[in-house]
Amino acid sequence: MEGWEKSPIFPIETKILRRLPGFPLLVISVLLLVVNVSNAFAHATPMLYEPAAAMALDKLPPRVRIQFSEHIEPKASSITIYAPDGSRADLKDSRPDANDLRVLTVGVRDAGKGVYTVSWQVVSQDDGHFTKGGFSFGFGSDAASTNSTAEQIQVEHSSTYSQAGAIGIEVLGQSLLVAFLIAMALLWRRLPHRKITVRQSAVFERACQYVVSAGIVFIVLGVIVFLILKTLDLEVSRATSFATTFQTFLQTVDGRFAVYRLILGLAFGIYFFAVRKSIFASRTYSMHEGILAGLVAIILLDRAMVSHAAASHFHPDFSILMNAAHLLAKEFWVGGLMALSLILVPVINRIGRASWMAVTLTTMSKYISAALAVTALTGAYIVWLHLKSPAYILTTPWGRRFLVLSTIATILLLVRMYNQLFAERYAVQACRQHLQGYRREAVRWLHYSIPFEMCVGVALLFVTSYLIITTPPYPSERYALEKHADSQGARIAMTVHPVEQKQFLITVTKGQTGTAEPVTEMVVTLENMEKNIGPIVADTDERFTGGFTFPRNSLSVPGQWKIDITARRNGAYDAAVSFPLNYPAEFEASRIDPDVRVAGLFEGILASAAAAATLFSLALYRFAGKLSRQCDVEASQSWSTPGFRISKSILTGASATAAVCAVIWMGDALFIKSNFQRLCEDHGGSWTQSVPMRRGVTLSSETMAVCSTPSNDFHFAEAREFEYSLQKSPQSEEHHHQ
Amino acid sequence: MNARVLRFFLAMACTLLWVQALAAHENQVYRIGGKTYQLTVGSLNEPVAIDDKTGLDFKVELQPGGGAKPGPVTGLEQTLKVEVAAGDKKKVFNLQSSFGTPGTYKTSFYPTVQTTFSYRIFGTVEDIPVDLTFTCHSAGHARVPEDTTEVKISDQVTRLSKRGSFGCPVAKSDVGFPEAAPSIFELQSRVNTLNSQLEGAQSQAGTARILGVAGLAAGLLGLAFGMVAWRDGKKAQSFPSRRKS
Repeated sequence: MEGWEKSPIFPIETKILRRLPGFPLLVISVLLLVVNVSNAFAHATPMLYEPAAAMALDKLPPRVRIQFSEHIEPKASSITIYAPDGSRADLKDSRPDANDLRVLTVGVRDAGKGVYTVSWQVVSQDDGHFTKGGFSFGFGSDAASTNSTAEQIQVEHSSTYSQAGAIGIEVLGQSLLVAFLIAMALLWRRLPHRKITVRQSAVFERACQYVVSAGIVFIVLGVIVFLILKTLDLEVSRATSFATTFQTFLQTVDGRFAVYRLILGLAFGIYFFAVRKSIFASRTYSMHEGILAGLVAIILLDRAMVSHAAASHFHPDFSILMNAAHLLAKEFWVGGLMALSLILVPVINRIGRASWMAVTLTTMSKYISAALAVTALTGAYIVWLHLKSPAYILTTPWGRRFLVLSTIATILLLVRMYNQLFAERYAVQACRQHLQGYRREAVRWLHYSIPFEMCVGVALLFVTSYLIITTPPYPSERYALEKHADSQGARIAMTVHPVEQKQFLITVTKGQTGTAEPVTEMVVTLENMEKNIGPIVADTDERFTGGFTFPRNSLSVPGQWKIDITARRNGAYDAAVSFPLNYPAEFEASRIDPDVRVAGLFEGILASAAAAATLFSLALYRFAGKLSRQCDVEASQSWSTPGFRISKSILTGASATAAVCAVIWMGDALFIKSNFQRLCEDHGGSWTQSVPMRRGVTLSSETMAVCSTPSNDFHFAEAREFEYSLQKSPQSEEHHHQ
Repeated sequence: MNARVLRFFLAMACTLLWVQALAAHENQVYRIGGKTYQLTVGSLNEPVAIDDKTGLDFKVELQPGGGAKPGPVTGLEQTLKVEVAAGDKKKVFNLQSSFGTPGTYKTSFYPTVQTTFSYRIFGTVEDIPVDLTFTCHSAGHARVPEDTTEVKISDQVTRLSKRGSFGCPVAKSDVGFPEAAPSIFELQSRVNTLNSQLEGAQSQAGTARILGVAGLAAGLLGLAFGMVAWRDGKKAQSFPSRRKS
C-alpha cells in the first residue's frame, strides 16, 4: 500500500478539482450552453385545431391556428389551405404565434362557401421530427358536406429504426471518446509509470489512437447517415428536391445541432492527434484532456438539447441538463467498459501483472458504481417527466420501449454484479497468491465477462437512441366522472368516453367476473324534474359488447338530471339503474388537468427506486474501493491467462450482443406492438397517429394512436370498438384482407 | 250547469281518457288472409309499477276493405292465447274478453321484476295461424316514430304499420309514496343474500367451534402433561443422591 500511495498519480481522486485544468473549461462550456438552452427549442403533434375539424362555420375566421405539442421550426413548417374550388385560400403567411411557439397560424381569405381543406406539415424544434396532416372545415350552407371530407385528416410521424440506428452509431462513437479519456486520465496513470516500458507504453498509445479514430469515424458516420435519412424523410413530406430539402433541414435546430456534433467530433479528432504526444507524455492530468472532455460534454449537451425534454412543461432547461447527465452517465459506464475491454485489459495482460489488472478493474468498478447512481437518479427523473403514469407503460410506444430498455438495463446490472462482486474479488486475491480451481477460472473469464458487459451496454445505448426519438405520451384533459350501480347480476357504469369527451360511455359487465355483458338493447332516458324536461330518450350508439355511448349534449340545460339506464339482455332480466347527475357541475368538477403533476404512488415508487439504487451504488462503491485497497500495485504476482486473444474476447462479447439483440427483437415483437396494433395490422388496417373517426366523422380534435381501416372512414382509438367492428362485419374483415 | 252541459263535459273527459289510454298502447295493422285488422296492445293500469296488478290489454278491430264489415272482432278468446315472457321465464295465459267492450281481451298477472315484458299472442284468427309478439318499451311511449314498412310475418300474415308503444313496469321505488319501498322480489333477493351469508357464518361458526374444542382438548392435555412433569420434577428434587448416582 505504501508504494501505491507514493504513486505520482494517486492524488487524482482527492485533489481532482485542483488538478484538472480542464474542469473550469468544462464548467464554462456547460454554463454557456445552459444559457443557450432556452433558445433551442421534441415530435410535434397537433393538440388543437381552430376552427375545429369538421366544424360548420357561419363566419370565416381571419386566421387558422393549430396548437402543437412541441415548439415548431418556423422555416420548415407551413399551413396550406385549399378553397372549395381547389385554389389556395391561405395568405401564404404561415408563422408561429408570437406568444406561444407551439402554435402555428396562417391567414385565410374568403374564397366562397363550401369545404375548406387545411394541410399542414411541421418540423419539431425540440426533437426534429416531422409530422404532417390535414383537416377540413365547412363555411356557409355547403358546410354540411364537411363530414365527408374529414377523412382527409391524417397524421404521419417519421420515427424510424434507421434513424435510431444512426443516433446509436453516433452515441457509440461518443462512448469511444469517453473510453479514451477514462483509460488515459483515470486508469492508466494510476499504474506505476516507472515500471512501464517504452514498448508497453507504445502498445497502450496505439490502442488509444485506434479507439479515438473509431470514435470519430462512428460520430461522423452516425451524423451523416442521420442527416441523409432526415432529409429523405423531409423530402417526401415537402415534395422538394434533395438539395433544397437538405438546405431546409440544415436551418432547423435538429439539422444545425447535428452539424455541430459533427464539427465537434472532428475537432476532437484533430485536437487529439495534434496533442497526443503531449497527453501521453504527461504524468498528470493535462489541460488537453480537459479540453477534450469539454468537447465531449458539449457534444452530449448538444444531443440532449434536441430531445423531448425540451418540450416538457416542467422546467425544460433543467430537464435538458438531466437528460445530458443521464446520457453522460450511461456513456461513462459503457465508455469505462470499452476502456477496459479495448485498451487496458489487453495491454495489462501483455504486461502480465496481476496487481495492475486488479487495481484497474476495481478502480473502474468504483467509477461505474458512481455512474450507476447518476443513471438511476436522472433516469427516474426522465421516466417521471416522460412516462407520467404507470398506465402508459403497456399502452404507449414510449412506455413499451422503456420496458425493453429496463430489461436490457437489468441484464447489464446482473453482469455488473457478477463482475464486481464475484470475479473481481478473485482478481484481487490473484495479487497475493496463485489461484486454483474455480477462482482461477472466474478470473480467466473476466476476459469474456467484461466485453460481454460492454456489449450489453452498447445494446443499451442503441435502445436509448430509439427511446430518444420516441414521442412520450401527451395526455389530454380527462374527466374522472364515474357512476355505477348493480342490477340483476350486472354492473352498469357511466363514465365520460376516454377518447370522445363529448360522449358519455355506458358499460355493462357481469357483476362477478367483470367481463363484458352482451346487451340486446340499451335505453337511456333523461329527465330534468326541476325544469320539467323529459323524459327524453337519448340516442345511443353501440360501440362494443356491452358498451354504448350517448351524446353529452342530450343533457340540454344545466341542472339536476335523472338518468335511467335499461340494458336488455337475452335470456335474463333487464339490468336497470338510475343515476342522478348535476350537469355540468359534476362533470366539470371531475376534470383532470394533464399539466398538473401531483405527488402520488408513481412518484413515490420512482423516488424510492432512485433512492434504493443510489444506496446500492454507494455500497458497491465502498465494496470496490475496499477491494482496490487490498491489492498492492507494486506486488509482482503474475497475471497468467494463457490463450487470451483480444479478438476472441471481443468475439465472445459480440456473440453476447447478438443474444441481447435477440432479446430486444423478441421484446419488440412481444411488447412494442400492442395486441390492438397487431390485430389492426393483421386485418389490413394501418397503425397511425391521427384523430379518431367514425363513418368519416371526426370524434375528437386530439391526435392519438389509431387503427385506420383501409377505407379510411374509421379511425379506431379503442381496441374494444375495433374488435366489435370485426365481429359485426365479417364482410368488412374480408374486405380488409383484400 | 244543466244536465246537457254536464253530459258534454263527461263525454269529453271520457274521450280524453280513452285517447290517453290508447296513446300508451302499441297499435299495429295486419293483413290476415284478405282482411285488415288493427291490433292494439298494451298493459292494464299503465303506468305499471312492480307488484301492481297488470296484464295484457288487447283489442282487435276489423278495418274497412276486403268486403268485411268494420268493427270489433269478437270470440278470439276461443282461438288465441298469450304467452308472457320476461327474462328467461315464460308463462301461457288464456285470454278473457272484457265485459262491456266487444273486441277487447285481457289477462292478468302481477309483475315482480323490473324488466322487459313481451306478449306473444298465438293461435288462429278465422282459421289462419297467427304468432305475433309485442314488447314493452322501458322508456314508455316516448318518441317512437310510426313504421309503415310492410313486414311479411307468414304466407297469410303481413304487418302493414306499427305505431306507438307501451311502457314496461317501473321500479316501485320510483312511484312509492310516502316511503319509497323496494319490491317483494328485491326484498326476497336481499333475504336470499342474507341467508347465504348466514349459512356461511354458521359454517364458519361450526369450524370455529370444532377448533375451539380441539384447542381446549389440547390445552387440557398440555395441562395434564405439565402436572405429570411437575410431579416428576418434585420427586427428582426430593431424591438428588439417587439421580446423581
